[in-house]
Amino acid sequence: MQERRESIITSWIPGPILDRKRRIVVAVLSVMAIVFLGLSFMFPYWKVTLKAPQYPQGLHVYVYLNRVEGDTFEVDLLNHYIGMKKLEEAAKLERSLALYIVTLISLFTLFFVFSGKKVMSLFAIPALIFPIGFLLDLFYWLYRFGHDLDPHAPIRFKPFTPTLIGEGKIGQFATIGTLGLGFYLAMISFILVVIALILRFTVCNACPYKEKCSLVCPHLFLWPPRQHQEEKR
Amino acid sequence: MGKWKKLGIGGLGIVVTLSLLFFFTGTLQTKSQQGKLPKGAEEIARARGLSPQDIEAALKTYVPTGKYDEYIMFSSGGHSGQILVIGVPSMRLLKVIGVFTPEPWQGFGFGSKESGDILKAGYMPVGKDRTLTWADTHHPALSETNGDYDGQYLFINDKANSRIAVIDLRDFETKQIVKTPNMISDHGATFVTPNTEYVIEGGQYAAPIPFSNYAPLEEYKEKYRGLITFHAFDRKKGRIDESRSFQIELPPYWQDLCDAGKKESYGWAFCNSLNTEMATGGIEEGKPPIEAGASQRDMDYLHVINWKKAEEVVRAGKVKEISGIKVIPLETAVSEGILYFIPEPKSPHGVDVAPRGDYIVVSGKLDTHTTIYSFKKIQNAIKAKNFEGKDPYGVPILNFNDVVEAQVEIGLGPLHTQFDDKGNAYTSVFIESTIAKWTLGEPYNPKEKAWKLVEKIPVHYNVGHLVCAEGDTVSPDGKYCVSLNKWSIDRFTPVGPLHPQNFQLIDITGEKMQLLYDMPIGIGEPHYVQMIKADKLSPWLVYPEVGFNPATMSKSDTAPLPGKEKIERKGDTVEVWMTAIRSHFNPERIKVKEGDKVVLHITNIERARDATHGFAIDGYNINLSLEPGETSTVEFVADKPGVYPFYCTEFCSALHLEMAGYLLVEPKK
Repeated sequence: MQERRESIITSWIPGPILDRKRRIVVAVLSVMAIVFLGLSFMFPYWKVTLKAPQYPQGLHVYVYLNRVEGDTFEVDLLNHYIGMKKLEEAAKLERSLALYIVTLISLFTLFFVFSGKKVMSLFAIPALIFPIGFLLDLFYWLYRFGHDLDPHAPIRFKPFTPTLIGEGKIGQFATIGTLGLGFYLAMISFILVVIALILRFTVCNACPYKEKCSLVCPHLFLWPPRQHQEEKR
Repeated sequence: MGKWKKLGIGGLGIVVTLSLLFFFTGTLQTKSQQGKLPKGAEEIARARGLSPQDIEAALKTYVPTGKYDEYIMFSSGGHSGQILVIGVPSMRLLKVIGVFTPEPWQGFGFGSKESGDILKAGYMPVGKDRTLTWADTHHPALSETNGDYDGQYLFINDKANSRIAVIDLRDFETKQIVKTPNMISDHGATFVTPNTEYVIEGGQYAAPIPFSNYAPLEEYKEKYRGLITFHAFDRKKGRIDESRSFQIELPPYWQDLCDAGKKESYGWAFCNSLNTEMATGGIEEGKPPIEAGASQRDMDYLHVINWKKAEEVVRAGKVKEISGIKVIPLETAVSEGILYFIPEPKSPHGVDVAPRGDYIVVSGKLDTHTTIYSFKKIQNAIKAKNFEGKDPYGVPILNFNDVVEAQVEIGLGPLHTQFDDKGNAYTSVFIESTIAKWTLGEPYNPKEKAWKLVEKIPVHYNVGHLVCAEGDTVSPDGKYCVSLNKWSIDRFTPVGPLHPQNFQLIDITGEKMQLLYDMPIGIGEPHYVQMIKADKLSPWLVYPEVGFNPATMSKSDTAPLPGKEKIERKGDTVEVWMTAIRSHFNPERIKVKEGDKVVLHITNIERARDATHGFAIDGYNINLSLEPGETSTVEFVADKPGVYPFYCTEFCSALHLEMAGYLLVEPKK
């Protein structure tokens, strides 16, 4: 049975194949990257703590990929005094698409494992730009919220941008913006993809078939027949 | 290959390190600093004339900002008809709960339909003006499970009108007031049975049944009767269920304090009595006054009541229904073995069951002893039908010497007893103005240490009841007692002829009792107090849902919610659904015509702790307290034409003054 299977594989991929383990590592790292990215859904990407004397526990807002949680009711209530929009209004489109975007990135990352040398970077790029993209989008919304103030609000405020990372001040509130576990998981995913990409480059550079490289690399999951390994030795 | 393996492991290593770093930075904690005595402490003590004992007392009672008290006392508010919530050991007043008396801050009885209905249920059953707006609150009782405080409910009586109130300790608000049928005065209330099956209410001044049935005093012995009510408590609903409650008819003695048996005496209740002479006074006609007439005999009767048996008798239907409540007639109580008497030193006050339920401590106010009865001996005497006789109403009287366990001489005027966790009892001694500590007998203490006076501490002055931490439960905590003194005389800066009462905190942990703190009570004469470990209470910080009705303790269907605010007119009725949030009401303008009925539903849609809004309408005697999440309804007739601002009566925010609106009442043409 086993012999028969191996003979089929041998007939399909002639010649020795280099660094089987390296390619397995690439696959494992990529799958892990997807898992971490998926997990990041469960944790906040960004959180902001507002501190004021009458809130001894502080007010906490947690921004997830697809939702905003925490003391949003109270923060909205306070924000209405300066005419700021409700948190629910922020990044509506991004939040509604978040699941699709992450699914797409995951699929691309998966393709990256199979793809040929010429296109593999292309498939890795979405996973790589995702965390930066998130931060840029968040900054955009912070800017808009701080500048799009209702002119009829009880308290008039000079337009401002709430601090993304680190300490800021809005009225009597000290604000502390920090990145959350969700973002760190996305960063881990990012690092895993970077490592995987480097590994893939080394594999492909040494690949005896690199001249005949196509869109999909057929060598990844096909175990080299035992006899070839023996030949190598 | 090894190199790649390392790289892979290295990559994983980075992942793990990053995650760990993330977790640990969040959990770093700063070490708390231990306090050191400041250099100036001694100078301060000298300048303020504080003795070393004073300094020790101060250190034992001071609770710094942000720290909490270890115990919570629920004190009767006396004449105020309210309940005081006090922290121990700081003796700080935390809250005054409106119970029988309208309380404006809490919007209790100032327009809200919910509180109005609760108060109305406690009005008099007869008369043209049935309103009652005060109460003589005496004895609070915490709900119990297996004889120990469970921190769920609180009960208190109104001696002046024979009423019982139920307070829910989730929101510290009064939920129910019951005007007890047939009775017009009580004193042996409130005391709960070990699982809060019943709230016991013993009557005080005998009257016909019901009290509204007139009978002249000449027919006192024939027509007047004592009564004890067992109010059935439905713990799930948090309400007294009068359909399951019952009363027992008693001879026309003046029943006094009661206590429920526990553990081995479970199923029994004990009440003492005075005026077994059945004196009715007549000082104006030259007859001996009641105080003399009621003190002629050396002994009064301790009432021993088998409430478990009474329950069976009620179930068997051997009752009369009077004023809508089941009453066990006196002869039935005697024939069914529900009621027995034991002679007790005259004019007793406290009757207190020891933690194991084995001893019953009675103190006669004019005696120098506390008298301790053994429950076992009582049971044996009842079983053996060993009676010394019967009272004029046929109630069997047990022989004093058969059932008494011990008498401890503690001083003149013993009153009320509480217990600690080390086998000691503490009795307030009224005439002497002391608290006496004495030992219980076996099994609390070995025989040679049993029934001995240990120590007395002077208190200031005229102590009534006392309370020790969980001191009337099956597991007292010891630690603190508080002497509830009737007179304060020279203890406080004079504030006019009406002096505050004096609560004195006593540390009972040491070899010697130590007086720690005097707390003036300037609101009424509190009689009794319950002291519970603070961590047994878990009150809500805000109402659990927006649109919560505290009267039903559930989310209301009619509660206005954000976005659903509206004003509707139907004929002469204008109904308003309003929300309140910092810093506005919505709607802000209500226009009605003179004579219109106005129905206002208001919800405080806040979720922040302490974000309470008031709602007052000028000129209409309306003020509500809307705590976060709470909904309330007000109904009134706009009978006064003109312009009536309404506004938030809690300083809720910087724009609090702006949280207002107008009620415009257009005059009739």
